[in-house]
Amino acid sequence: MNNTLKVSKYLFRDFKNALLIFYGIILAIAVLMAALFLNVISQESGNASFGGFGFSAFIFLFVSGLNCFKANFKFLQANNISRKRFYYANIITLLSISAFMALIDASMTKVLKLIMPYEDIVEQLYKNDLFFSSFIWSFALFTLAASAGWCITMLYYKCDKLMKTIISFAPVLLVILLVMLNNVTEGALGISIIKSLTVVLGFTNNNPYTAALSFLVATAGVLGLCYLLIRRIAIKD
Amino acid sequence: MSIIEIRNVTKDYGNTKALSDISLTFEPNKIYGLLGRNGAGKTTLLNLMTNKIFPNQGNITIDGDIVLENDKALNNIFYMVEKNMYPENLKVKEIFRWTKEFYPLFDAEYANALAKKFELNVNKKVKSLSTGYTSIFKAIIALASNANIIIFDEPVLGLDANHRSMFYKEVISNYSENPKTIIISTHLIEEVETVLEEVIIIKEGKLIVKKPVEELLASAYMISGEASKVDEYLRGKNYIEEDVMGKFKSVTVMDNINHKNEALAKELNLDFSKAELQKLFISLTN
Repeated sequence: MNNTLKVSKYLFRDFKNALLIFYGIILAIAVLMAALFLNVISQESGNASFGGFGFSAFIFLFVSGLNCFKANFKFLQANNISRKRFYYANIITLLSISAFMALIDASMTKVLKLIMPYEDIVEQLYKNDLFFSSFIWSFALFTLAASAGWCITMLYYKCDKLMKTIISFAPVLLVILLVMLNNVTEGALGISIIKSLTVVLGFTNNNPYTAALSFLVATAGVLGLCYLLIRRIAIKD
Repeated sequence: MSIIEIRNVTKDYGNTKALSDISLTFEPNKIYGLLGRNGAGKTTLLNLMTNKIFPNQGNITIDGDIVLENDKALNNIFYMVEKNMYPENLKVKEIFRWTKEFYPLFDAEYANALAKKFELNVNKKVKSLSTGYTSIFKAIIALASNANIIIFDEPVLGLDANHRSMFYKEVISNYSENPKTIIISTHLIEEVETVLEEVIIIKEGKLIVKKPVEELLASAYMISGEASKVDEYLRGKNYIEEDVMGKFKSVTVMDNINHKNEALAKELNLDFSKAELQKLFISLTN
């Protein structure tokens, strides 16, 4: 096994317990939902529908991304692993876990649909219940979530206190700026942003693959930024 | 066999110059002592040698390969860092296992034997180890790594006298069985003196001494006896340290041991002895 895969193996170890706990909870909720539907709802109105596991996986991966830098970087530095190798190993790990979770999510949707009226996010947004499109869409979104988390934590690690404060307030300032610009342009900015999002997320033609492509392009951009951040990152106490 | 070459390395932290134009070579299979007062730049130098931080100028090579982001070069070094960089929720034995992944020559059997010798419980999590046992645990990993170059930064931090003595003996035994380059950065100079072959002293970011220990010790000697007679001997001589106990006085004279005036010492009933590295260090870095 080459060193990059060995580093990946170490990074997977970090995810193992968190994944087990996460899917333990998801499984318990799924069983509860199925029991609730079979025993109560189906006998009364039969109009309820379920969904949202994909969103939990998205949050899980974002938080995991936030947690997978500092301790791992320190341990790998203790073992004299270069930043470059850590970077590639982390990409392998995040992509693999995203693919695994997307596969579980798409498979679970199919199974739950057999028991109760369950709709995953892709079906709710695009009226498309194909396994493959659900998998690809989720995979692309999960990858973006994990990469974004990783990038943010690295940014915080690299910056001093002042820069951390600036970064923390930047999203709020951006929203205020956008609102002001929207007022100045009498709503034109807001409309063009919504139109652009509708196109890049594939809502114009109900195409989840357009959104998946947009997520993957965004992921590539985030990982590019991660590379710029990690290549000269120094060890801190 | 690995040669570390440091060429014109400078490192700044903002307006502070941590290292200034350092050039030196670590030859293979020697035990070096890296000495300097607090903030002299020892840890900065070690961090630069192991790609933990980046120099502002200059370069560092191992067997001709630049260290910067170079896994091949970095694989030759094991650096026991003063701070704990290991995940606190992992057990000692798990860290041994993971070290083996990254250092294929890591000798797990030797690591376990050392753990037993130092009474380190390998089933304990890193977070539950005391300061002393954290040092022992890190030192064991370094000794068992079988890397060509092993660097210890404050290896005996928190260790009791017994464990410190065991550690120095283990370093010598490890080196005798499998010669390698060992660099020890420490403040406990008196204890480590007998282990070292060569000494490197850094003062305010500059290299001031790189000499074999014997050569450095030969540049001074101690004279002791009745205080008034010692003072008589010292007339016109350069000396650095005075220890007075009642009428008895002991002084380190900064002169080559071959230049000592044995006839005068005999006449005054004074005794010569070897200079101590720590006293020379204090004099050189003050």
